[in-house]
Amino acid sequence: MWKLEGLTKSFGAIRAVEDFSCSLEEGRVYGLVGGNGAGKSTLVKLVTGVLKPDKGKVLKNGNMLAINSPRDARKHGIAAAYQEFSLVPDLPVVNNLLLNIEPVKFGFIDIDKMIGKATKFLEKLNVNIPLSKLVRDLSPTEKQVIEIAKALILEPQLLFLDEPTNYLSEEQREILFKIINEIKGGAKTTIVFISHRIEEVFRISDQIIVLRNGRLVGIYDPKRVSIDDVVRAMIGELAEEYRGYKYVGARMEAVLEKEKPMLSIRSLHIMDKVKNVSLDVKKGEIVGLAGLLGQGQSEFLRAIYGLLPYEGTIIVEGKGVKITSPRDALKHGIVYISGDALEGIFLLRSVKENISLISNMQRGLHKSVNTKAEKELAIKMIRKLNIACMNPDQPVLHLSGGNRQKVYLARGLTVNPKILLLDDPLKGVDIRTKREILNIVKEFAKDKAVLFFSSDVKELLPIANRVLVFFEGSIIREFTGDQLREDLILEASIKGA
Amino acid sequence: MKSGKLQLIKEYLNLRILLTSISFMIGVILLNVVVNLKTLMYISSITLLAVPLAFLALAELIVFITGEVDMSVGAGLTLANVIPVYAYLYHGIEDYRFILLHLVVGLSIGLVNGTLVGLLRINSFLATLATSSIWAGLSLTILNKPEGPIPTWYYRLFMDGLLGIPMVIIGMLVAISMWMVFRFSKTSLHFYAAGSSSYAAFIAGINVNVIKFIAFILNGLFIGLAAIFMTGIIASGDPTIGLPYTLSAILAAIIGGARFTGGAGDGIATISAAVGLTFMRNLIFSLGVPFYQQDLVYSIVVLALLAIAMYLRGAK
Repeated sequence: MWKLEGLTKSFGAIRAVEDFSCSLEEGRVYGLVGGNGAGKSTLVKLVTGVLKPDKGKVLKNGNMLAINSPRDARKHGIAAAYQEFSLVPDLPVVNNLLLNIEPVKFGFIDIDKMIGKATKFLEKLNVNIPLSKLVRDLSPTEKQVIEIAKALILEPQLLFLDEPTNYLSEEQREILFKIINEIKGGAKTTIVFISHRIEEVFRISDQIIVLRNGRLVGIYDPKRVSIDDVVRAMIGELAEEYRGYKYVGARMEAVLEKEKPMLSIRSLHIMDKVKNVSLDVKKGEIVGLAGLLGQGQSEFLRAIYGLLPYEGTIIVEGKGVKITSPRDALKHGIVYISGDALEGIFLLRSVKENISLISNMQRGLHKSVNTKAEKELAIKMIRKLNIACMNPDQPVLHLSGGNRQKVYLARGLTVNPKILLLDDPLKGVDIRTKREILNIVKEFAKDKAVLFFSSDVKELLPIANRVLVFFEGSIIREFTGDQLREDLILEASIKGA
Repeated sequence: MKSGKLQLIKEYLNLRILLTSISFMIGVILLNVVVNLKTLMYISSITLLAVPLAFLALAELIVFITGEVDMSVGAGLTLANVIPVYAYLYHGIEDYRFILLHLVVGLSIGLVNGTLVGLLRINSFLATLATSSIWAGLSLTILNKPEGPIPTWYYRLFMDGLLGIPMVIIGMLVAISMWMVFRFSKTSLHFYAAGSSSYAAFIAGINVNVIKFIAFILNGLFIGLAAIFMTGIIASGDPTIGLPYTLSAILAAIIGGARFTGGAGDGIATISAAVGLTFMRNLIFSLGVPFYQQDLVYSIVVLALLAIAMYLRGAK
C-alpha cells in the first residue's frame, strides 16, 4: 500500500502540483489523466526523486520514505519510464537496460550474464533490437521500448509509465498491456499509467485519477463512469478570466474572403512527429493551433522556421520556398517566437540590443550600428509593448519572465514580418501580461498571417479566427465561428476526434 | 563465442576510431623510417619518448569521457617530475620511495582538481587552467632550473630495462592493460553514462559528481605514471618540461575519439595517437626545421590534424 500525502511543488509563481494526496493499492493499475499543465509528469518526478517536493511525503505500508534522489526511489522499489526518455545515447542498448545494475564477475562486467538477462527480457517484450547498438542510433519506437524495458527490468513495486505508448505500434501496445496485467497479478506491482489516449486509459486502469491545474479532481471507477464523464472532469468549469474579450473572428471573416493565402503548407511531414499537414493562412488571419502538448505543434512551427528538416511544400505569397535555416525563413519574412524566452534572448545584453538584433543584422554586418536609430527603435517598441524596464540599456536578466517574453516578441516585430509563428509564447506568463501580449498580437496581425500554438485554449479564443486541433501529428478538427468554445476544443483534443 | 558478445566487445573497443588512429600512427612511423633510413632501435627509442605522452593522453581522455577537461596535465607532469628529483637531491630519498613519490604527487594533483570540479562544481576548464599555473609556479619554486642527476639504479633501469625487458615495452604494456581493466569495469560504463547524459545517469541512480571526482583521481594516477617515465627518460628534474604536453595530450585524446561534450573516446586509439604525435614531432626535427620554429611547425600540423579528425567525424 502506497500513500502520497499533500505533495506540493511550485516553479516560480506557477503551482505545478498542489496538495496532492491519494492511496495506491498493490496489484492495481491507476490511470492518471489531465489536460495540458495538469501536473501529471511533475507528480511522477516528485515520487521518483527527480524533483524535490516543496511539501508532502510518500509512505509505503505506513512508513515514510526518505526520497532525495532517483537512487533512493530505486532502493524503495520505485521506477519509471519517462515521457522524455532517460537513456544514455552513447551506450549500447544492453548497458542502458542494465545501467547501474550491471552483473559483475571478479570486478569486471559479466558480459555473458548481461547479454543473457537483457536478451531474455527483450524476448518477453517481443522486440528484436541488437543489444550492441548504440541508443543514439535507435528509432523513436525502439527508444520507447528500451525506456519501458529499463523500468520493468528493475522489477519495481511501484511503476510509473508516463506516455509509454506514444511511439508504440498497435501490436506493441497490446504486448505492453499484457505485461502490465501480468505484473499486476503476479508481482502485485502498483502501476500508474499516463496516456493522452483516453480509451487506452479506460481499458487498462482499475481506477482513474483526474488532475486539473495541479490538483486532484477525483478518482473514478472506469466501469461506472463514461469517457465523457472523465473528460468533463478534466476540463472543469470554464475560466472567467478572459471574459473581457469580444470575439473578433466574425467581423474579420468578410474581409478575409477576398485575401489570397499569405502562407500555404502542403502535405508537410516532419520525421515521425508531423504527418501530412496542409493549411492556408490569409493576410490578417490568426490561426490557432490547439491540442495536447507534444502532438507535433511545436515541431510544425519550428520546421517552418528552418529549425527542423521537413518534407513537403511551403508556399509564401504564392511562391514555393525552400527553408533550411532561420536565415532562410527571415529572408521570406517569417519570424518565430517560442515560449522559452531563454531560447531567443541574450540575458546579459541590454533590452535595446536584444530588440534591435535582427534589424541591425539585416542592415548588413559590415555597417556600424546606428546607435541613435537603435535607441529610437528600442524606445518605440518598449512603449508599444509596454515593456517594464528602467531604460533601454538595462540587461534583460533583470526583467521578469513576462517582460523577457515581450522583448523577444518585440524583436520579431521590428523586422515587420509577413508571417508570425508563435509557439506557446505565453506559458508561465502572468495573466495581465498575457492579455497585453494577446492585444499586441491582435493589433499586429492586421496585415500579417499568424500561426499561434497555445497549450492553453483560453489564450486562443479571444483572438483566433479559427482553431485547428492537432492529435498525434495530424490536424483532426477545425473550429470556426460559434464552434470556437473551450469545452468543445478541449474535448476534441483529449478524445483525439 | 556468441555473436552478441563479439558485437558488444567490438562496440566497446570502438573499431572505427581504433583503425583510424592506428593507421595514423603507422603512417607517421613509416614516414620517419623513409626520411631517416633508420632501424628498429631508432623506432623503439622514439617510442620510449612517447610513453609519457601516452599516459598523459589517457589522463586527459578519462576526464573527457565524463564531459570535463583538464588544462593542467602538462604542468602536473612537471610537478610530478620535479618533486621526486628535489627529494632525491636535497633529502636523499633514493629507494622505492623515489618512484612512489611520483604517484603521490600525481594523485594529490588529481585530488585537488577532482575536489574543485567534482565536489565544488567549478567549471573544469577554469579550475584546471588556474591549477595549471599553480603546478607550474610550484615547480619553478622547487627547482628554478633543470637539475640532476637521478638515482643511478633508476637511470640504469631505463638504459638496460627491467629484467632485460626494455622500459618502452613495460610502459606500453602498463598503459594498454590499465586501459583494458578500466574499459571492462563497471566504473567505465558509469563514466561514459555520466558524460553522455548526466540526466539519464542521475535517473539510474549514479552520482555524477562522485564519478567526476573519481575521474580526476584516475587522471592523477596517470599523470604520476607519465612522470615516472619522464624522469627516467630525461634523467633530471626540469621545471619547464611539461608545458607543451597539454595540447598534445588533448589532441591525442581527440584523435582517440574523445569529445569535449563527453561520453566518447577510446584508450588504445588514444595511446596510438600519442605515439603517432611523438613521431610527428621527431619528423619535423629530422626534416631540419630550426629549433626555434619547431613548436610553430608542430602546432600548425596539430591544427591541420584536428581539422582532419573533425572532418572525418562529420563525414560519418
